[in-house]
Amino acid sequence: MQPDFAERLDRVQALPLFTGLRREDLATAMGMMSWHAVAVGDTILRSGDESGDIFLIVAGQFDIVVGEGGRRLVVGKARPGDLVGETAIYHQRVHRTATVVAKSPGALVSFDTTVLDALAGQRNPVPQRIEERILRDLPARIQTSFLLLDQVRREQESEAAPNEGSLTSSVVGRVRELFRK
Amino acid sequence: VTTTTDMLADLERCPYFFGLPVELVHAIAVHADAERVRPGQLIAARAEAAESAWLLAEGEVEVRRPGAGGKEEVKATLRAGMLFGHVELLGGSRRTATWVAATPVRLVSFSRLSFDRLIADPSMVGGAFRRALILAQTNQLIAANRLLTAALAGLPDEAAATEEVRRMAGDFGVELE
Repeated sequence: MQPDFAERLDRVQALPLFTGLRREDLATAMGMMSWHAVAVGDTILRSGDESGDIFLIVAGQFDIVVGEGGRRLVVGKARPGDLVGETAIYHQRVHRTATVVAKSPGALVSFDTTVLDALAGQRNPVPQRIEERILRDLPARIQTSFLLLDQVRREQESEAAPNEGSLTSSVVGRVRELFRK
Repeated sequence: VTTTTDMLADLERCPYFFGLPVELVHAIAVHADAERVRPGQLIAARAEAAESAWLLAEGEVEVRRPGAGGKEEVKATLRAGMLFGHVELLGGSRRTATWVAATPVRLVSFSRLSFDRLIADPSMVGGAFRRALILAQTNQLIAANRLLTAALAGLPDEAAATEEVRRMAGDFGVELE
């Protein structure tokens, strides 16, 4: 059974991302956003599709995957409080560059730039929290993709057999080192 | 002498601030300083703590990092309209490159304090500043993921490391060959 609006609001309000915000501000924001319950294996967004919404994860674990068709790499994990699909924010038209897949049952809220603009116009603090979170998370995400790009290109030059596990773990170590994640 | 009018025009020309109402650009400019740098002059050095971010308003800036032998080499050149130095302020890391003026340079600079204040500003001014930084950063994420997608598909031409790509990767401490 789907949670009612008050239950959804409780779950969103419990995210550290929104600590200290007034419940009525969150309620206004939630009233303009869509709620999605997801099952294991559901694809939230797909690389190559035209982008639209940004997703805030309320519950569950998600893989962020880069690659279309052949070889794919998990470039990150998303958890409650994380945002995915953030490349859509403030861009007019752009295609998704990653696929996000649910690894557990979960819940998300989605919204687009027009919702953030409308809320900001009402001096609602939710857009600012979302923007600050995106700005905080982006450097490590970008660095991860460039590090993986570097390693994939080196592998291809040396024609070594790819080892996805060690590739990803060594990159995660370097990202933590630089950005203190 | 760089005037406030010059600085406003510089910000308005930057693609990330383009189209903003002039009063918002003006309010952002209040937090910025104008700098002029002579050719060969150091702007910031690799590994030092990040204290500013800049918009390159005029001129060219060399991006230097150690090469294979450990000696600093010019890895890329920044041109007017580009933001630089913001990645370290956002990520809390030390400088990943040394920046040196290649020509006479005009900069619009944001100190760490101004930068942090603007990001935390709940008004439309802070919103416009955050939006500019998000656009700059998401452009880099889009580029990185597209190149990674091409590399994974075995498309070496599309995944080629152009100077622009090397510069972007270098901002994040990654030296693409």
